[in-house]
Amino acid sequence: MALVQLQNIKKSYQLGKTEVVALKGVDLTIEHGEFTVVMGPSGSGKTTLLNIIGCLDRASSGSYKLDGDEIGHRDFNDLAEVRNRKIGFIFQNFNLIPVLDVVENIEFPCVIRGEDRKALRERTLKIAAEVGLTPYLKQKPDELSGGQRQRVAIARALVTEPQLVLADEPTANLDSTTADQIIDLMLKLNREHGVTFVFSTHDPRVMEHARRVVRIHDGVMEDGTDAAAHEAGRMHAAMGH
Amino acid sequence: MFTLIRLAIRNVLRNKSRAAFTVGAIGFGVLMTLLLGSFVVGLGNAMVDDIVQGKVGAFQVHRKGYSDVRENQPLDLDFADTGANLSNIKKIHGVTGVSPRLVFSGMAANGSQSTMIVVTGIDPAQEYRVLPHANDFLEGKPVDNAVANGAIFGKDLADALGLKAGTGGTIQAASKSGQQNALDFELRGALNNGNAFESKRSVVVPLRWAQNLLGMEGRVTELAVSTQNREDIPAIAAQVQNLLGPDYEVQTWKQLRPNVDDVVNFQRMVLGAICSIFLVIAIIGVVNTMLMAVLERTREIGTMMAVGMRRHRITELFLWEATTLAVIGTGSGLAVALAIIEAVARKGGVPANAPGSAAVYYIVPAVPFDLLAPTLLAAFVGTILAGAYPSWRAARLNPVDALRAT
Repeated sequence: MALVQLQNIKKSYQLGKTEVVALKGVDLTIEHGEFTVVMGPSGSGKTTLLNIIGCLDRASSGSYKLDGDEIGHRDFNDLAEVRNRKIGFIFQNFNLIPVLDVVENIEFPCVIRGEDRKALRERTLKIAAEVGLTPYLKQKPDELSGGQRQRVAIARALVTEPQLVLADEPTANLDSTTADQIIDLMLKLNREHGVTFVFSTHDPRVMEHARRVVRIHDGVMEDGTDAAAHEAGRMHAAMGH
Repeated sequence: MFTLIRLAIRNVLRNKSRAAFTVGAIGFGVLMTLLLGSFVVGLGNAMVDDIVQGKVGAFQVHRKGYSDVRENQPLDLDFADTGANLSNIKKIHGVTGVSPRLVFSGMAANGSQSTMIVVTGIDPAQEYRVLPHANDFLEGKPVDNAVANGAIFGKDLADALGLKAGTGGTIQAASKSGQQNALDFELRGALNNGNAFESKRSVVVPLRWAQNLLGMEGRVTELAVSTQNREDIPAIAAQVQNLLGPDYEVQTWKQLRPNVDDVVNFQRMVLGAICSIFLVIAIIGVVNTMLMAVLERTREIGTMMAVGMRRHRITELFLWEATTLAVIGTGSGLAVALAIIEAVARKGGVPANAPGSAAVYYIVPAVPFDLLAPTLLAAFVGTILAGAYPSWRAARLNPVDALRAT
């Protein structure tokens, strides 16, 4: 069963008196364990697509199944639950909570769902070590570099053990060396833990490593979706990673 | 919930100057309300104490119908100054004293001029137990049984007749049968309590002397009664009324001096209006702070929503922030107010004139429960309610729009 199944997804906004159509019937399937890049020019609809996949927004019409469950028409609180349990987010601007230290930021999605603190702390420390944050656990976000902040965001995205991690331009605000480190880290997590990553990016370095590139233009998926990479993703998943 | 509270406290403290301003606004509201309130209560207490402990007692007993004609000081509605009435009233729990009085009108003369007066004959031993503040504004000596014809005059009256302590004159009055009698008196002191009528017309003499003048030995027209606690006055007055039956009427100080109660109530009403303004200012401050917080932290709210925080938890977070402001603001205002009130009370209060009176009262500020509880409750609940709208706005944000905010 595919992790993400979008069928004929349409999304339109009302901008004043004008109706803006952002997605014009998108079909997309993402398998477990894929490392997928969604690319397209500004205004092409890729952020809207990621928002819908991430349950931050709802499609105007069409079907969205996440791990087999139709979730396209669920209400806000149900979608919040889905995001909390199944989806991790990595943002371009890191979006850490400034009053929380590194550990608290990482643990935040689990704390708000009332998870047992002891088990959570063990898992947090393990993930923090994996992303190289052990020396900075008690630091506040404003005491960290951009790369360190993005590592915190990655750890926060992974601590809930999600099925899907969505990364919106995760390297856009990083220097090239740090961006390479972050890409390597996400590749490693994808390879070792089988976490499914979906990126929105312009960064050619991310695209170099993507096993699948999905192109969107003017709200429509373009032909040329990398079928071979898609297949590689399937294989990767089938191998149990 | 603990996590939310901790997060709320940190959020409040992240912008310390704004938090200080908001807490200051709430604290100022509470401080001013309690300070003003305590002084208004203190002034009210001073005025009521002056009436209850200095003029009329907690309540008075007369023969039925006396209150309808009391302006004429009738002598025919009299009763015995000893016996069951007094001793039975004294036995009632909470009664601390009963003072028999004989009130009548007459003329005071100094040999060359005379003027109309209202005379109260008292037994000083009883009277000054019931009215311990009766002589607070006395210039000279009080009425004393040892000086059988010693009288106290109102200050203006004494001045008008050119009387000084130790000098004297004659008081003339009609007995119940209409016979005019006159007796010499000696002025012991002048009462200057700020009440214009009492200053111009009032005379206090020993009861025995008054009874002798009117030929009413053993008779009085009034009992002034004092009680242990002011709060018990209505209940004890009702008990006395039951005890004495329908031939007597019992009137509390509020019925005898309704203007004082009106003034006290008016002061409290004005206080309530002023305090409401303070509270509104504080609440506007909180709304402003919370709306700024929502505006500044829109993307942060979006992030919280993205990682799965539900709308009601966002509301809770901002309400806890309002609660934090309420606790610190109310607590600091309360602490400063109580410290000032305690310091002023220890020094014996501040001198002030009661409205419409030249008399100087010492206002001892007090914070009764019925001032403290509504003030704290209004500040606390008002602050939290002030956070309700910003909290609701935060929770209604669309996560996509919130994440896009700069």
